[in-house]
Amino acid sequence: MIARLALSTLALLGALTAAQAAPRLILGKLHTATGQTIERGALVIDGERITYVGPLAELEQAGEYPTLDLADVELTPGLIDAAVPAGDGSVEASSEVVPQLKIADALSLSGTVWKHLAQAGVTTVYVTSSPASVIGSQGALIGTGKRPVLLEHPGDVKLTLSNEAWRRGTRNSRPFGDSARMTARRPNTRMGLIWVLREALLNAQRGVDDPASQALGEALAGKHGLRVHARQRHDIETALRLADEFGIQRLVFEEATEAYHTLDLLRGRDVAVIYGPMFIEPLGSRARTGEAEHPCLRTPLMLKQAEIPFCLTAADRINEGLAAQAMWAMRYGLPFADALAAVTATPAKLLGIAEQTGTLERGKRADVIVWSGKPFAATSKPLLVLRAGRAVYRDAEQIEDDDWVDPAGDAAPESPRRKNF
Amino acid sequence: MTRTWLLAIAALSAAPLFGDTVVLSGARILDPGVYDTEGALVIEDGKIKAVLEGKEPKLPYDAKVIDVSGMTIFPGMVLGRTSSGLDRANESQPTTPYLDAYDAIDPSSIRFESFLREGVTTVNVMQGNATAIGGLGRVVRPLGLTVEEMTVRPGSGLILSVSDRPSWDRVRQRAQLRESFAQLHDHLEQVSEKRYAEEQEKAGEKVEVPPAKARELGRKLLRPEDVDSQQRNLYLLVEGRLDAYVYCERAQDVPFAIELAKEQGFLARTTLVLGADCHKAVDLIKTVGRPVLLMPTLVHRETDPLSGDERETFVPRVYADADVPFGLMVNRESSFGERYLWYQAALCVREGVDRETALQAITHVPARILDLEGQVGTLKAGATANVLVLSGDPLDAGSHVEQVLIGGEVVYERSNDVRLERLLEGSEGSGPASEHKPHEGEEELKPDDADTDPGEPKLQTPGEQERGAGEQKQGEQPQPEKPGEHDEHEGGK
Repeated sequence: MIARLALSTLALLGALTAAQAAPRLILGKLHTATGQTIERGALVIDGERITYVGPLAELEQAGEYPTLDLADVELTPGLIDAAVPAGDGSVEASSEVVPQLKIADALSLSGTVWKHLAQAGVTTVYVTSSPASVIGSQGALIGTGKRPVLLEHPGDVKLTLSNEAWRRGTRNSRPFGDSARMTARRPNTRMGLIWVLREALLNAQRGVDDPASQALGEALAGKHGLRVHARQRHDIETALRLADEFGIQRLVFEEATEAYHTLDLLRGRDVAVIYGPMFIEPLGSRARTGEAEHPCLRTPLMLKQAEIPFCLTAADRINEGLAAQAMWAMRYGLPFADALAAVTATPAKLLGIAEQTGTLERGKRADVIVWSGKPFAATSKPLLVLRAGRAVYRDAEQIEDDDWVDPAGDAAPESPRRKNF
Repeated sequence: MTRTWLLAIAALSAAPLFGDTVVLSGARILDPGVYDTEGALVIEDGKIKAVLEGKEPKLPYDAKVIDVSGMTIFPGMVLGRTSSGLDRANESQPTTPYLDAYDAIDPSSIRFESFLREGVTTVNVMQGNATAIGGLGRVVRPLGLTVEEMTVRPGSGLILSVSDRPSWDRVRQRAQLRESFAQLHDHLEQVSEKRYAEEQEKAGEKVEVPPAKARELGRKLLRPEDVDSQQRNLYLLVEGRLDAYVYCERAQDVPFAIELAKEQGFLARTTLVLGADCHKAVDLIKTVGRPVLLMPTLVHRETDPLSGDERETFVPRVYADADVPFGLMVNRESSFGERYLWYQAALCVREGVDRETALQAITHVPARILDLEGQVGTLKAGATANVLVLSGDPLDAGSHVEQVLIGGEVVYERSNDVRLERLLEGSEGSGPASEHKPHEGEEELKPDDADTDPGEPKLQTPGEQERGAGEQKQGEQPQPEKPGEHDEHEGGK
């Protein structure tokens, strides 16, 4: 499959001089994630935006655009992973309640992980805090690629109800500042965990004047989203009870391994589930928690049938990738259209960025994947991944022409849009 | 009159008994490089009799017909090497050729049930890679109450490793190997002399020959029972009577492995088990002229220490491009995908290996490596009827194993799979978090944060990058970076 370039002389000139300004065309089967599939589709990208999505036959002057025309390719929006965990370096040991801190201040954007994410088709990730904190820091939204960029996002605050937050309490160490009071140490039982949560939420409600309570108060007021890290049924139930007690309107659950046990509780509430990763047997630290012993492979299908909004995440399984999660979900019954939505449109909505990305629609940011075959199939892979119209991954063997793909190259610095700096 | 009776009796005994012939009809029959057709598969006496092509072939009148319309018939997959089914993957001693997997295989192990569910019908169970010279393996089918019932081929070969392992560096490892063979030869010299003397005594002759000559003549008369039981398997190995599986973790190990095998006389029966960056030595590997087994991590990433540039290689592609036949393995302790042979094959197709090669890497090639070519992993006439009925193409993630036949008998049906049902629908119990019990064969996992292979990237916060170095020194949380170092990552568990 060698790229066949169709160029008109006009477009060629255009490409060489104001290359980025010239609209470009990609042909293929389009999966827009709006419920539409367009067989012989055309996608026109102008700068950072998509300017046309539709049948090739209806595109005027199609022959004038520099075109990427590969056999058998299919296009989807760039994938969005809504819950990639930050490493242990983001766990502030001085306190287990740190909603005032920001993950964005901890992340190194110079790792290769962002490149690998882009290679796997994931163009936007939300980095969530580690479950080791009882109330974790505000997350960060990152656009991936060789040059990742920090995107604007208020950052959700996460409550941890799983035992990662209190198992570590058995190795209590004195926090910063000299305080040997019980209230200054980490909880080492579930009782302690719930008490820490209650105390923090009460302080926030009462408007106690310390950074953590202020930040949590802002979250309760809706300025930040609230997430809950919970796997087991009783943890999910407890979270919902706490939400009712403190008047929390909207909760987003992360992992939720046993969500299938609580479908009735979740249904009809303003909740969403970020479900994943899928596994038959947990491994590593997840296995050590002992909370993931009863997975249910049909959970994505069950969530769909219960009409509970959900998206899929690869969490720490970055190498295997988010596309593989969609593949497993489909293997165990989830229809393709729902799997596609669960990794594109739905996480976009959840993160509040649905106006810019998440679907292939005119006017949206050009976050696009060109797949070598049916998306998410084990035998398919991304050949070209675009974020905001520039290539963040290109399969060098299949797609040869550099000029078309990204004239400025991934070398051109993008201005990082940071709100608080 | 008698003659008619005799003929009648002869005719009766020649006719097959009702039920001996089974036909799977109405399916797509797929055997990579052999069949890709619609038709019916005829099984007789537990072996494949024929493939009848066409939509409505004429079926034998007395056959029991199983209608599998719309399904795909595929050979039962073959796993070239795994330590699943053993209670522990490795011995603590470096040289243990006298051990036998026979003594450790647990027929009730859940791994064997999983193999059936996944469509793997032939498994070579052997020790892991953390050894210098390990014990004998055994080829089994994942079915049976005793190891004898399960056995397809006893003594499938010895495992050797020329790479370093925990607490042994490469120098020590190679010295250990040389030492072991030196001890073997010393021993063989002794018993050869003794044997020669024995023969002389029996013959009643007393011909004086120099010791060297005595050893030479005695060596020719040597029988396995003359050799000490601890050395016997090594003796058989150097006599070319046992297969060898030689694990090389890195390209630098390959020349040594080949030299050792050549020197000790077992190169012709060596299967190289190749990890990490061995693909760099593909030209040398090709000269061995034997198929190889690839470790389950199929993507190799390397970072240039100076420029920081990363290079990624899809390993099977290198061997496919060089025309070196390879077999794929699984990693049962890894993430979802690498546990499945079909997924590994699908990855190969994804990265440009042709379908036939990829499918043969999970059927024909491992069968050949296990010396069972034409007997398992294929639908050719005469092969054991180890057959899968799949709901679709084997490389399609949406396909499931609907039925498994071993020796012509249906031994697994998805509709009856209780454990799978629980996985699909979720189980009832959700009590307090249980203490994690290590799965059998699993080494104690080091305390660390991520649920990943050591190779998985982690989101680094700047502090963590430095702390990572510090933690190594602390010794509390060493992060094993090298594949093959811990047995979670050796060829299948």
